[in-house]
Amino acid sequence: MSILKPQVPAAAEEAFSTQLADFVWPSQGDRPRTITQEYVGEMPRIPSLSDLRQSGDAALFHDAHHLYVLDLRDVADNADVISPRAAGWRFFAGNSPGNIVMATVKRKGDNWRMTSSHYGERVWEMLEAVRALDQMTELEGGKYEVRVLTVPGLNLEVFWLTDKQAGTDLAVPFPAPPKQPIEELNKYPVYTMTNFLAAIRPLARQRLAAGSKYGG
Amino acid sequence: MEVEKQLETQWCWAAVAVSIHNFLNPGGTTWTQADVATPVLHAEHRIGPSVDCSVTPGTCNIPAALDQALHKTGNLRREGFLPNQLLPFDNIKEWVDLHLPVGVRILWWGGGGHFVVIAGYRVLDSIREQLLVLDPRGYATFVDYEDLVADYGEGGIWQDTYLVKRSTVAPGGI
Repeated sequence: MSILKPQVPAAAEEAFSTQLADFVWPSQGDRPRTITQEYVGEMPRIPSLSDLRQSGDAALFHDAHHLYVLDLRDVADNADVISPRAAGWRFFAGNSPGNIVMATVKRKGDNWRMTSSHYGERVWEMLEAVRALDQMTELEGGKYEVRVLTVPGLNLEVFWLTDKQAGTDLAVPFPAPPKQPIEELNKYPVYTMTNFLAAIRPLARQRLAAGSKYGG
Repeated sequence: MEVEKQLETQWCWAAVAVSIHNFLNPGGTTWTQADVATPVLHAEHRIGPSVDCSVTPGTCNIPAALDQALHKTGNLRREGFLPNQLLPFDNIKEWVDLHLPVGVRILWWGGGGHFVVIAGYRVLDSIREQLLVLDPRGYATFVDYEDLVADYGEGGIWQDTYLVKRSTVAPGGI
């Protein structure tokens, strides 16, 4: 399979590289700054820029993905045609478990701004899953651009492979089977977009019927 | 503190409730997510009377309310469920300074809800106000306060607030 690199807006990349320091731990050599902070319990283990650089990744920044969001209502009502909302870009920095950050950069008015940084086991697992796409025999011969498609109402993320040749888009659940927590997506490593939507449609309808103070 | 990863896709409420309980009550009985799921879902008649969520968790994989779960663990403050209310940053600081986490319900723009925990704050150069948010999906996140309020994660708003306290309730105690 060949993975096509997406065209990342330069302003989004710049927002990530210039604002990352605001979302990690300060390290020696960084510009001095005043930080007032408190945490419930122990201070969290958050990497510094130095930690990220020491993880054997010369590039520090890598793997940008366009983030799309699919609303529950869209899933529940769709007739195989969906219109996910572009919600920003995800960037990774660092290259080892514990020393990795996944950042979200969103467009706010005329500007791009880094709005959050994520840490933890799931971030590393996601980076590994992206890299595993290259090895999937099911995707051999294809030419795809990888996007991230999330359905927040179902706590679901998939890699959305937009086909640049035949036009059949695919969905690769994350985590992959057998660890995929949604049973309906635990059967195959790859779904056509049509089959993916059919699999999650009943769940979306069920969630929309849930009470107004519920969460899941 | 840490927040457990939710064991079922719809158990953010159970993961948040037991994480808060087990952090605030060290040395007490440790609750599991199934320990809280079973009585909460029984009380609302959403599962059969003989269902035990520790035995058949899939049957119990249902969205539910965090105030009910925190009530079961004994950690919801009196009048601590604040529907349709968020807290100003300075107010969050006061709770965190007391080493008490704050529960938050995110309302996704496209439908559905999700519970997370605020477990810290920091102010950079007296300007940028950020929160440490623990998400039972498996993330710890630093997020600007204004984004937790109006554009959290993949697109949601801070809808409801849950204030907590220590408790002495053991599983099955209520």
